[in-house]
Amino acid sequence: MNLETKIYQVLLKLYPRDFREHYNQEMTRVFQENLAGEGSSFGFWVRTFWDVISSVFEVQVNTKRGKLMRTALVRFGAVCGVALGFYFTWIGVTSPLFTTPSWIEFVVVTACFVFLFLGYALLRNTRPHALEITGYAALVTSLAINILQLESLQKVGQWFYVFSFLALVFGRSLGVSKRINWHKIPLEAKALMLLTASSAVPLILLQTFHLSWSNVNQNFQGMYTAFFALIQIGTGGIFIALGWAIWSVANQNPDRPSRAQSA
Amino acid sequence: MPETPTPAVFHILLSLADQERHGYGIMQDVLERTNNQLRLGPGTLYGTIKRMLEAGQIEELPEREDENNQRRRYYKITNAGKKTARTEAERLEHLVNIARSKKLLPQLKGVR
Repeated sequence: MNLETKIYQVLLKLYPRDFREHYNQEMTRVFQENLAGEGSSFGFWVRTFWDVISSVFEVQVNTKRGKLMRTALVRFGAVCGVALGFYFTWIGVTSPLFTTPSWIEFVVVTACFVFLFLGYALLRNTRPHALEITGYAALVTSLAINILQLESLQKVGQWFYVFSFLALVFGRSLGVSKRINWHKIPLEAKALMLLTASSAVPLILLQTFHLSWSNVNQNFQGMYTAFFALIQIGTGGIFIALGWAIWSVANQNPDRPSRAQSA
Repeated sequence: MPETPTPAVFHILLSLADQERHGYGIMQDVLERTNNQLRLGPGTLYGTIKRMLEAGQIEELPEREDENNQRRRYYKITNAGKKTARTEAERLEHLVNIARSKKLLPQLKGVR
């Protein structure tokens, strides 16, 4: 066995055991045939690594254990959504980000998102779970920013958290967006959405009025920062409502007839 | 509404539409048909094959020797797979017809 094949054999260990047992031999053979055809060039290895990294995730989440984890992840996502919602609302109401972002921050955030969406665009042709993979990438990035305490990137990290949550919630492999039959969302969740919206409106109005009034002499700085507060509160409300809705649906017993059916 | 297959799934179904093939054979066929544009690596290929087997779109056949006397696992399209491929092809045909009607593509000869 040559060195290239040995390296590939190590990479194959990333796949689940039952998948490996079934496809190890075939995959190795295809790898060797590719190697013979293309030669061990830099491009070949980039493609090989990319192929392994991007397919491992998908294979892992489709195993029995992966499916169980997905259900757990849906619930975890719902809890995180509610928690994140309260966090954003709290920040929005009490101490919003009252600093205008600098140009550098703006450029860094934009560049990060461009790369993120570029990754998604590259994945979406071959991967049915592209959005979810991108979501995890965003989550890992934001965690890394926090763990490494990269102060200058903290704001990027926050937005990546938001994006990862949205991507994971609406990611196809989690199937949340499909599983939610919006007509069947419990009345309580709809009520909560309405409640959030109705309570957010006066809060937004108060914030806007207060901030614009107090900062009116600073080149409309107040209006600008109030806009951020508004976004924070709005995001908070959406997260709470979504989290609640997802949790309710995840806990629904499919065998139990709905209220409408019972009636 | 049936789920639209990914390009990888559709190309594998096209490869198997007329004959049984092994993994490497599928990969070569897709590469040739797409003018080297879609290169399915082993991970993508077998990950997709596994999903398609679970979805009942293709079937795995017992190992047999290929033209080079190597033992290979062959795959065959099922009726469900043919149906998926046909539905997708019809969807694409419909889009092409729309493009023709909007004069983005030339009209076919003999078709008014």
